[in-house]
Amino acid sequence: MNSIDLLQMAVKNLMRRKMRTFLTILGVIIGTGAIILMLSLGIGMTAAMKQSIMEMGSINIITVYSSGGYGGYYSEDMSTSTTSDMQLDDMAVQSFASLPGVEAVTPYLSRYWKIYTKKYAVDAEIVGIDPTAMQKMNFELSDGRLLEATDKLDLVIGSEVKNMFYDIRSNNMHSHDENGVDIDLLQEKLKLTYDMSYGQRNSNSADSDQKPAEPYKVNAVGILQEGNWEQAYSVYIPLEQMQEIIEAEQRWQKQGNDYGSRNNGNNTNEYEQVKVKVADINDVEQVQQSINDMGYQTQSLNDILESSKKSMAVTQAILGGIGAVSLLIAAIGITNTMVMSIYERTREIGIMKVIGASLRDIRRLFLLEAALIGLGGGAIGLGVSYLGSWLINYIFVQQASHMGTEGFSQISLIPWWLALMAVAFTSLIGLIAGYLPAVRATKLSALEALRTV
Amino acid sequence: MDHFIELNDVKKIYRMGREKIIALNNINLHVDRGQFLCLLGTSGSGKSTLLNVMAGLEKPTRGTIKVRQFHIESMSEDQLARFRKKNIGFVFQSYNLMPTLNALENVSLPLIFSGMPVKKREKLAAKLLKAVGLGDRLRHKPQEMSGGQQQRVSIARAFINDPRIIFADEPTGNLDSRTTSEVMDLITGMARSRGQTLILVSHDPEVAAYANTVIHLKDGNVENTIINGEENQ
Repeated sequence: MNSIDLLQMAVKNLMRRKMRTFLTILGVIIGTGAIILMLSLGIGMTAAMKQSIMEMGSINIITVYSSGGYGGYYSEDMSTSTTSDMQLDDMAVQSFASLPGVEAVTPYLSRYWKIYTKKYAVDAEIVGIDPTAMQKMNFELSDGRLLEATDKLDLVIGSEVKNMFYDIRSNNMHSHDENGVDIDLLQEKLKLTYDMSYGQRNSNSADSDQKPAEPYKVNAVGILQEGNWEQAYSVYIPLEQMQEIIEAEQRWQKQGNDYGSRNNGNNTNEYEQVKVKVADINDVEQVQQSINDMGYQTQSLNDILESSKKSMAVTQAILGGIGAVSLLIAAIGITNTMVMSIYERTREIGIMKVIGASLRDIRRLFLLEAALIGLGGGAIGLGVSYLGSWLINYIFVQQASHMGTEGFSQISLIPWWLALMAVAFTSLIGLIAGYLPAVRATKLSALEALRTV
Repeated sequence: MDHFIELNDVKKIYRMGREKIIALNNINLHVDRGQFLCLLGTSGSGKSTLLNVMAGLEKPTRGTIKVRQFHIESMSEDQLARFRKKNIGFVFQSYNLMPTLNALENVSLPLIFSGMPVKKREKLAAKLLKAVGLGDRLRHKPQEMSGGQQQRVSIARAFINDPRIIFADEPTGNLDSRTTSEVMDLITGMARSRGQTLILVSHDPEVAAYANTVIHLKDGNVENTIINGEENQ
């Protein structure tokens, strides 16, 4: 029996009892809809969570701290706990770079310094970074370009830095204009200084023996895009320049007996932080572990992601379970329908057997009918799910905008693999549900069946 | 000499609770190619059981049934299905047509199971339906036809795969006498013109008169065999 005849016969048989077929399919539609929508909520919530974690920084970048100080940029421990700690020096950077899976490594050497124009100034974290590695560190530009190997006193500026500028004359660094000051940082002539008293000189005449520090003329070459809070408040400069300026600062500080001997890291080859970029997100955990094993402290957003993934998996399993129950009931409905159908068609099965239908033909016919119910219900159920998902998102977005928590555009997400799997799965359920009735049909004695009225 | 169909010591015993009913008691018979055999007997004589056993629809309790070189009694259900598809056509008392299919589809149904493409099989079916005088009823469903017409459809179906043997179980049992003779003329004429072996079960001596061999059954035993009107001991 060829497949087209088989399909035609199966469809014809299903159409004979339209009401019953429809009700059985309806069961599958509800089951499919329930399971897809439940899973889509789980997936949507996971995606929203992942997105919000991504906004905190890059997931595939590991931050390494020397074992002494954990996370503190200006930790006093940095200089004091120099016992047997692993130093974050160029050697360490080299060893990180040689780990498998690592794409780029750069030290972060940072100071809290001042950048100013004629009218405005900002106190910001200046970060020395390896310009060749910067390209690979997930920096996204809104304007200009990233640092390049030939750059000297060039800056790439975080997206929020512009809003932190204040009027020098107002002398109040906390009175920022909401919209930032009206300057184009890429065009403006900028100066950088480690002399934090710049602009306050008049009121600060007590430091008479301190010569004013010579500012550096710097040049902004790029502005970062919003959306990554880890990078938004920093200004990036090539590492070598950073080291030179720090050395100059140290000389300047020795000269004048500066009150704040902010000697974090006497050696400019010792870094507070090293960033390690891992090529594949799946390798992050392993690379992080190897760095930990070397005796360093590490941190990555992957830690947070992994732990929240685990808790989301539980939520998803519960949601999926609820959907699975309704699909199970639908499967029982299919079996019921097929058993009924076989009772009704006992005589026909007998006729088919007598005139030459093989057991295989009969089994295939009933399996196909059951699978068609599953497939039809699954396909329509998928359509219904897309509608339901759209509705949930629509309501959710409205609610969210009322509550002022914008940002997540959808809470229910149906990825293509879920759609595909759902339809394949319901067809399979149909096959399984139809198996018992189909075997039963093949076992009918042709003669007995013929005698049935 | 090997006969076309050979039955040796065929016994069929039904168990009804504690009681044993001997439906066939050591039947020995043979049928030759092209023969028209009628199994005649009253209800309960075992004539239908004998036909079913010969057609492989029922297994004998004991004994062997050989059709050509095949041993029917030891075939599996799938082998039997294939064997029936190729070698056997059936005509039943109650027609046994598929109620949802029209005449054309009913007649071509055996060919569907052999995997013949739709155009070819419907052409063959239409030709046969014309041969049984239903050329104008191709698209009619069984319930739209009279008993005689339905039986003609079932005859056309029995002949569609050009079988070697036609089994007919009381083919005229539900028909009036005029239609009976029409159907009998049709079925014997078609079988004879194609050189097919026809084995027919009936309780009606008038029907038996068409056959060239009549086996009279009583209580599961062959009472007598009449070949061309002469009793054969």
